[in-house]
Amino acid sequence: MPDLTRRGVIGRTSAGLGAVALGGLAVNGALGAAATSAPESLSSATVLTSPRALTGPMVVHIRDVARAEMSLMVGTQEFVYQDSQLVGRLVEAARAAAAGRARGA
Amino acid sequence: MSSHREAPEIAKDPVADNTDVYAFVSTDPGQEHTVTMIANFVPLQGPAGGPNFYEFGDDVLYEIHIDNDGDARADVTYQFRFQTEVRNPDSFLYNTGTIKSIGDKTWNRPQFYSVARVVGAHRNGEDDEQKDDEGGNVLGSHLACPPCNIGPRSTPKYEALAAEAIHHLGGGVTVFAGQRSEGFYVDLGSIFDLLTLRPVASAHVIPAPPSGPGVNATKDLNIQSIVIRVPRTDLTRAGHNPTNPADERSTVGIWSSASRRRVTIRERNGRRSEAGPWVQVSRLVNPLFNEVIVPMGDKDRWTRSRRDDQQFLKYVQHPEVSQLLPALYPAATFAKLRALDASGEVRTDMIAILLNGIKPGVVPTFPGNFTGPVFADLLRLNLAIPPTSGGGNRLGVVAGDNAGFPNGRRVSDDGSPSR
Repeated sequence: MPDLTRRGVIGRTSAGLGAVALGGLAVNGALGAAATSAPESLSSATVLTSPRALTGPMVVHIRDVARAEMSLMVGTQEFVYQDSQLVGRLVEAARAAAAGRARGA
Repeated sequence: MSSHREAPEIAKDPVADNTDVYAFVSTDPGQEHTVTMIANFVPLQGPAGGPNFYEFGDDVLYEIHIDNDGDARADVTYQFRFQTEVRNPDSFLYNTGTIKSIGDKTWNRPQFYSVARVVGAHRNGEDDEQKDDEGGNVLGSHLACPPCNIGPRSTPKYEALAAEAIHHLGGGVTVFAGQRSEGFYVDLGSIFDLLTLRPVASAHVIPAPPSGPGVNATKDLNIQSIVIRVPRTDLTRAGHNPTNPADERSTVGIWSSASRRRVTIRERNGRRSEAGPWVQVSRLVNPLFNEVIVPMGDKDRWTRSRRDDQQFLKYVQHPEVSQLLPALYPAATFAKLRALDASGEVRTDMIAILLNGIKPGVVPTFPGNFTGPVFADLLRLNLAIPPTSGGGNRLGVVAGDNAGFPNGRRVSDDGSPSR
């Protein structure tokens, strides 16, 4: 079992920021699937294989859709990175959900 | 006043609202080799504030920071994290009987805390929040706070209860965290009614009948105090023993802050989750700085920022309040202030007191507490200056008492430069 504590994760990244992959984390199905594609700014992606690896919530904040820039908040850390594919999927999912809700209404 | 409800955002978050900071070489006999630091939070508590009486926030990180090399960044930080427990969830009562001891099960909502000492953590606000905010040396954990002072049936021997909550942690470190009577005195109702000073109210541009001397609006109100006493050498550069007031290593800069996590999620089941780094939501050092020197449009930015107060220098150079007073009192009441404003002279006295310390020789009887060219709102304390016996003079250095404000700040000091 790899060291998946906050410090362990940070220690394995190359630059501290922008070097964490979401693959395998139990965020939700769509996000997990999308994240297995290589994020654009990841130089040495670390795949976390166990959904039990992290305790507490992990929050992904898309802070700039146009630049596909996201903040990933896990533990007391915040990582910033870009992944246009992932952001594109999330935006699409949000649109689809909103459209579905509108149709339902 | 100090800085209660000093900025729009923090005024809405009283649990994190830092109201006063005090730091002084300890006056207790035999403790002159130590420093006492006090950070107050949760302002203007009415003593009858039940049934959910005041407490610290379990979701707030409270910190006291010390800079010992003049760069206005923390070299030593003491962190305080709180945890509240509920013993009987089936009762609405804060206490289910008389609380005779802080360990009594009759106290239904006790609060505990941990203290950690972090060396070299420069988490000074938005710019540095990614830096180390965990992993400090834990000095004590599950330390009990005292309950609030409820009343004669619930807490009949309150001072004894509070005394039980003074914890000696070893290494010469002593801590206390809990409700205390507010030590700061101010005529809030009058001063923020267009700077009405009751004794000269008839000279105000909107005159009012004389209403007697000032009214202490904080009398009989309480505060949440975090108090820590540590050896002086725990704060100085490389453990330097401060014996020479002229040695620059003898002076440290102190401030406190409160932080919250970047994200709070209110789950559907009522649970609250948090994620992300700690973000500074309150900071406090010198009384009145953000309260009346920083204008409305910059107050929340000042609260968030830490690294460099150069950006707020202009407000100290020409404080708005020194222009307002002569305008509001057009007679001769503030003639000297009016002349000073008219001259356009920069308030070098305010800059020294608030932003980089007093150089040796400026006040002939004071060795100084200058910390260098970095402008930062710090409470500067020359640790080599011994405490004054008998409580000292509340006007501090101005009155020749070098152990008082602005060389640190004692609870009894009249530490507002504008007063």
